[in-house]
Amino acid sequence: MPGCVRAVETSGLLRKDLEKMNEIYRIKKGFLLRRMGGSAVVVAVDEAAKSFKGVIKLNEVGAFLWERLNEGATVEQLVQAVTDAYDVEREQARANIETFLAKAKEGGLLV
Amino acid sequence: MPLYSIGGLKIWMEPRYEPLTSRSQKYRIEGGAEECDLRAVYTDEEWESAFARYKDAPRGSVEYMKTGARFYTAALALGCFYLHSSAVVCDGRAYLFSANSGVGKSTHTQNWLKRFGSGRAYLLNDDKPLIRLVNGVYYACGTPFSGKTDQSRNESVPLAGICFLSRGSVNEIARMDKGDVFPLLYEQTVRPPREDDMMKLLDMAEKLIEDVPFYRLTCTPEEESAEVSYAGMRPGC
Repeated sequence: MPGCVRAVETSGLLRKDLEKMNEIYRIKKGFLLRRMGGSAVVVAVDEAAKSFKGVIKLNEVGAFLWERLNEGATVEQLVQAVTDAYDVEREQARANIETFLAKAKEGGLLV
Repeated sequence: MPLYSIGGLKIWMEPRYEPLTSRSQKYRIEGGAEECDLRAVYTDEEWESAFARYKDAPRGSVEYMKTGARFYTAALALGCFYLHSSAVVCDGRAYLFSANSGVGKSTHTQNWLKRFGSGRAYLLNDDKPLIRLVNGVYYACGTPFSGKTDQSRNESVPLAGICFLSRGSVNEIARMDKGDVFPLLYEQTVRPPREDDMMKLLDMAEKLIEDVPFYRLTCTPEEESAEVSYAGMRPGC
């Protein structure tokens, strides 16, 4: 529909949002997730261990997100997965996911 | 005859320098290298390279450190790992106190020795006791790698509990939630760079956390601190 395409092209902000929506987030190779003690932890091996020497503790939702990010996922896919699995509002899920991704990026954990 | 028995495992070692030569004496057994469960040896080339790399350190220190490293890394494949801790035995059971160097693990276990006397208590290992699961029972084992002084016994003792220690103005002990244990444990054990070794460590840690009680202790350097930790950890509590 020509009207819509023109609207997208003329709106720089909208284009950036679309790019962001399609961005696939993925955890770097070399991180191992293990559920234990009712919680979940992540450690690094091989190349990743050269720069990451610590351990990450994740709660249930964090572990859930981590497993999906291992396969690669967009924000929308994560939001969908979380709202399907847990009783949480879509916007709350999105906010939590964006915070999680920001922390993961800051920690050098994302590809 | 380069065979040693540590924690019930047969180890091929060839110590040449002090302190390892004298510290490993009590672990010597009859037998040849071909009978070993694991090898803690290096080639002559590897030694020359290590001595060159750590040229300011005495050769004996380099040998002690590198043999220990090889031993503990190889032990992972056999389902054992070390915990950086001071292990005290009281009434036939081992209590491990873990913390970074200098925090006060040895001071605390010395307080156990003072409090309970040599009739009931002794030190099993003051730096890196090996933890091993045999027939469903967890054991803490003495090794030649026992820190600054050679306070160790060549024994495997059933493990009563593990305690992470920090300094405080009062003596207080509390049982830890299982979910909080791993990050502290991980800080005080071998960190294998390879995935297959790491998976072994995670397997063992997961099971240990499930089966063995963990505690957090804040303590003063005084002897009464031993009363508090013992009361919190002893069998039946």
